[in-house]
Amino acid sequence: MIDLKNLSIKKAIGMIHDGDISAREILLAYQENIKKKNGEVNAYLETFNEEAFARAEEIDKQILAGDEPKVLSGIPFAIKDNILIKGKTCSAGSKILENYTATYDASVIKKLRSAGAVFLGRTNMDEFAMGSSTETSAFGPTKNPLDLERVPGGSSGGSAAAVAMDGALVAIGSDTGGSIRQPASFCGVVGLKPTYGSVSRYGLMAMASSLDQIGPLTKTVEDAEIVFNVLKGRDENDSTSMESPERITKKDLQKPLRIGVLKYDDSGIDETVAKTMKDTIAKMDKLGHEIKEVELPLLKYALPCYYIIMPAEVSANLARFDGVRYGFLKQGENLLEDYMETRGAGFGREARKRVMLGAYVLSAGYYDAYYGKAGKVRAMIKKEFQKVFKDVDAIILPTAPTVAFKFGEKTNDPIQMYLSDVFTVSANLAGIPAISIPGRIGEGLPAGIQFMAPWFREDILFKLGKEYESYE
Amino acid sequence: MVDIEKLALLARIKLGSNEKEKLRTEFEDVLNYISKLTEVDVEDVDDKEIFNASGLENVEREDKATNKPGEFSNSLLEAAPFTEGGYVKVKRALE
Repeated sequence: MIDLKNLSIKKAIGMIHDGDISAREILLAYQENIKKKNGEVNAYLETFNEEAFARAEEIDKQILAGDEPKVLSGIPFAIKDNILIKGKTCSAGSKILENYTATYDASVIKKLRSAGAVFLGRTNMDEFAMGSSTETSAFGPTKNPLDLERVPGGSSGGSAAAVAMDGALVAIGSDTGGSIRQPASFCGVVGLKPTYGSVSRYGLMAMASSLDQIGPLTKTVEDAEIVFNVLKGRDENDSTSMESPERITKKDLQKPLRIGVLKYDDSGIDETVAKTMKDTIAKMDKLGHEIKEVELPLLKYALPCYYIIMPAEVSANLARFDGVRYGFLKQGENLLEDYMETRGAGFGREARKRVMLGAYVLSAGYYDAYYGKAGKVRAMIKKEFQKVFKDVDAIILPTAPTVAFKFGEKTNDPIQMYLSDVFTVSANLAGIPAISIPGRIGEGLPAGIQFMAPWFREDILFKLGKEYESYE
Repeated sequence: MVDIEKLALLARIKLGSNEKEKLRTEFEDVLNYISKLTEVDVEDVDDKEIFNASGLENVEREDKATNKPGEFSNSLLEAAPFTEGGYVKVKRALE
């Protein structure tokens, strides 16, 4: 039996290299777990059993023939259902795309493929990535493997649950306002939202294009780093993507770093979250880093700002779902009715609400007051981060205000649901990288701790994250 | 008060008659929440600074086709509910 709990990418690759285990054996161990647990957890909407096995077999043959394993050879991945895999259904958790088949591979899928990854299946998510609990999925919610009465977080809840239940070694998610980090926090795994532009979004279904990023959910920081290094880089097919500038990645990281502890309003903050913060700060201090308090006075406007920019972009991006070219169609008397019927029946409640909210903030007479203003506030938030990053190399803050909540607890109070992202959206607005790492206070449900770093300084996140993880 | 029906038409979404009230309430809660932004003084922000999350510049390419004619036509047409003679078929837009 393979010890999946303690398996990492490096260990798996090492074992495959030494012939201690085959890619097929690793795959079968995960598939067995999925079979046992997915009925209850609903992390996966679909598994690709035969293709995955054929792929693992092919990798085993290459290794047997003497090939060196590639960086991800035989590593089983779960893929969020809004990332296209050619020939596979890709539904974004929505009824409107229930029967949609992807016509091409997303760039991240191509990269993972050529690095040797094996795709286990596609994971459940909030519809079009709009939600913080997977409760808006058209295909039923995912349950938190750590406590089946609680949500796994969202929108990448299926991806986080897949890793947490040992149903995949790595999962890929997308993060528009916290959709990788918050579920990572709720499920006790690592979740990285890279710098805006560092990973291609070609083949990711757009939610809010100025905020969306793709990133990994893993069990360890090192694994997140390995996967990020495969995913990153300029892609011809995404004009917002770019190489990480060399000049900054070479900076010496051996010296103690300056870590800013964010000052925040602690009303509505769980005890576990507060304890996790305290514990992390103490450990960072003992590791020799310089700890100082930092303030981001505009942070309290980040979420309202996000709830203008995001729905505005959502309303534009979701305009393509019209029942004409692909996806679900419900016919009416004329073309307008076709649109209205298709979108009315195809989109769930949250998607409908956000599209309409976007139409509202962009409509004549309101544009300047909402969208125009939000754009300026966003620019100010970015400047505030620039200023703080002159004094510190990283910022520590909670990932979410609470641990995983119960099903239905926030579905009737949208603002409470939205507040779940209060600590995460600022990184998307500013475009900076951020990582959520499971807290280590060792009692009850976990809470993640979040590190943020300047643009393209994922290396700082990995360094601090690894130090925190291995602190004895 | 927000005109939910007009917004639904703008968004091309048909709403069920019994969801309009609940939607209106939720809508107003969100609008109330985002109106917090009115407190922020944005006088000093230059229009050019807006929406440039990571210093991106325009990316241009030559205006040349990157694929062979018809390379993707079939797989794309297969996804459409109605097609005719290599075209996507839609209802009349102008009456």
